[in-house]
Amino acid sequence: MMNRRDALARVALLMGGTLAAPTMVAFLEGCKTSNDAANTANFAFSQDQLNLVSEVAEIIIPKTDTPGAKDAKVGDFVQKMLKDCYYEKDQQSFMAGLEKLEEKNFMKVTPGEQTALLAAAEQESTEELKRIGEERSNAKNAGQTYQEPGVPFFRLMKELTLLGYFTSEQGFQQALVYVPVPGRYDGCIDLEPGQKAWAL
Amino acid sequence: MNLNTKAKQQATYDAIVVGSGISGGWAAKELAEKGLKVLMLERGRDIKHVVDYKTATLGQWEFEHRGRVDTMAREEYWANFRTGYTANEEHRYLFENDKENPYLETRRFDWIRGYHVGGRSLLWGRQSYRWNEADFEANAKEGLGTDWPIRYKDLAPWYDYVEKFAGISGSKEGLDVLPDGQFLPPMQMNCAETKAKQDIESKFAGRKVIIGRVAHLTQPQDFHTELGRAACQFRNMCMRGCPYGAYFSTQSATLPAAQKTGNLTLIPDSIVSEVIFDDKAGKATGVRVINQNDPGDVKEYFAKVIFLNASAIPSTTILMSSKSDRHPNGLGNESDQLGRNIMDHHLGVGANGVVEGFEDKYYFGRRANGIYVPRYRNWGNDKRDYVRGFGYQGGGGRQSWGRGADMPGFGAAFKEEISQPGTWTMNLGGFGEMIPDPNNRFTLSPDQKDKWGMPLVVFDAAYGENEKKMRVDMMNDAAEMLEAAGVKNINRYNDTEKSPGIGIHEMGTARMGTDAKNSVLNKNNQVWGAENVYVTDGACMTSASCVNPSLTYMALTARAADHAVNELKKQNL
Repeated sequence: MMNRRDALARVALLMGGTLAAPTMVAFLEGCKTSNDAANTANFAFSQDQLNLVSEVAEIIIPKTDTPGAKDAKVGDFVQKMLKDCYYEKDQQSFMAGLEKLEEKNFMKVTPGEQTALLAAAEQESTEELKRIGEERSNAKNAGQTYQEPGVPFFRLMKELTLLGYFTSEQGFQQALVYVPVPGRYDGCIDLEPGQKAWAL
Repeated sequence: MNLNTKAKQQATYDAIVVGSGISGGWAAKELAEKGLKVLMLERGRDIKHVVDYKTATLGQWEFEHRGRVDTMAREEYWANFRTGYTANEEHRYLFENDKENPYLETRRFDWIRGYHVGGRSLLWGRQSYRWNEADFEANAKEGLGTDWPIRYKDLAPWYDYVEKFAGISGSKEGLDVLPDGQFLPPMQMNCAETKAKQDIESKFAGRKVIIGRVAHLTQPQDFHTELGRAACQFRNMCMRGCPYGAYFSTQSATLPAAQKTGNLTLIPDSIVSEVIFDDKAGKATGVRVINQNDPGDVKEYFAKVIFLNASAIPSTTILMSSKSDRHPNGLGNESDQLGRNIMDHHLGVGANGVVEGFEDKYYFGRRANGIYVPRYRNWGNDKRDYVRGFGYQGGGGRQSWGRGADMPGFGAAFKEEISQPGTWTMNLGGFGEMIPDPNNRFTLSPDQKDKWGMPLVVFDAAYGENEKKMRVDMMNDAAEMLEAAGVKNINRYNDTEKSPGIGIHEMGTARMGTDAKNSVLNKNNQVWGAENVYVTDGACMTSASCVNPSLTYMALTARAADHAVNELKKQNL
């Protein structure tokens, strides 16, 4: 009934082309059992973990001439999303990544070392995603169903940070330009140098 | 006069309309404007125009999960969740909780419902296309299904009529395959789409790229304004309900028009369980209704004429549940066609890619519309190894922050970059015709019932070989056209996991035909053997075309309402 058809491709288009594939899988496949839902509902960060997640989010999206991830309370958002919207396996892969940062004393090392730790975490996630993609395609070719593992830590962290920040009031209205009631559609206009993207 | 007679008199109207969605709204408007006292019954709750669109003006940050689907909603809206968008937080309140309204699947069918006043007229994609002459002739020519008892010329004046009232924006193109209509000014294409149009049309004879024809007021006429409707504001938040009444819905258009006559009574929360048929008189006398908030509260309403507009599956369910000596297998079911030939449009196939250039160009406003490529396969001299055809809906746009997840890096420069518009991308998504197959059907469960005691619907449907063959072209042609338009990094897709229903265009199950032996409805949408019952929603469709169906439901409904009133005048009903 709707022009939305081909929901995935269209959603992807609206969200800016490439929507995070593994998260989309997590969002679009099957249902959790009630049991699973009950387990995931108990998910919570400790205060230290919340601080750590908030810090990582701020390094991904720092305060510049516009608000940063901390201003937009992205740490709380990540916790809420993991609790309410994700599978237990995703919660586990996320917590495993977080523990690795804790082991490296992330909150106490220098900013330069923090950046290096996150760059390494990103590299690790990228490699893991590549491996998962190969396993998925091998399974498909062999006619087997593939048990998707949890989304790798940094990937999940980055996706949720971007979502949490750019859909926050600060992100929507300051990092991007939000026009609640455009009132018209101009199909082809000049882009001003440095112009921000429309929110939505 | 005794009490019972008085009560019956109070529950008696000239006409009963079951359902308040796109076709029900039209039936109520037309019958009321022609002077009939009309009762409109809606199974779901009332939704008042504007005031009940509770999410219509919220910012994204005001949604608990910023629009995403949480675990509990994923479980409760399990069928909606399959679509990838209808269960989203922004508009979930207008879709049905599937756990509370369960159905069964022998073969999978994605059944997406909107049980409330206005039905899915609040939720539709608003794409509005006429069928063409060949669409009505194809079944007879190919020996598929049964012949339509009407032709394009029978419906053409009614298309004119409903387009004008609804307000359809679009461009006149002079195409046989996609007849022009009564249009408001078209929306604009963006820079990338305009270039794609030029490239594709110059490289492929017979193919056109046009702006979508859509039921939005781009330039309201006086009669639109009088109903309280205003011009489209390009917010693209349509599925939350439009506070401007800018797109056609029951609430924005047909309901206020019907109410203006003083002839309409609307009762929500009323689930029609069956049509009451009088064997002796040989006609229907009324309907039986269950209060959705109190299953023990059963009422009867009476009328000379009954319009079933509950949407395809529920309208047919009502016919199936209406058994009498004269109609032992369900109303109008002498042919055993009731419940058969479920159709939808098949989609989830096409291509997308990256558009080079236009870095210094952008757009303003959020256009709730895209581009459209009318059917060209099996048209004119083109012959394929399948029958029928497909169109494309698509569009171009600049990437937003979402691309950041796939980009390496983080920090201030990264933030700055993804806060600006990214490269242009373009998508062409196919929209194919599904042919009628009597084995694609639904039945009613013999033992499982919902909380109102109504038997559960059991679906048993799948795409056939014709659809599968067509999809190969749908994918490859999209890629070929994008390539011709200079699009790079082309990604072809053909989601073979998709099931019927996902297009949310349920059609068939009580088809129109030429004879009681091959169909449920005659050429005027009257039930065979119960001629004062009309069915004018998707259930009546004899074939599916490849274009969005709602405009055709509107035209069929206005035509049938005109017929019903004329027949009443002649005392034929």
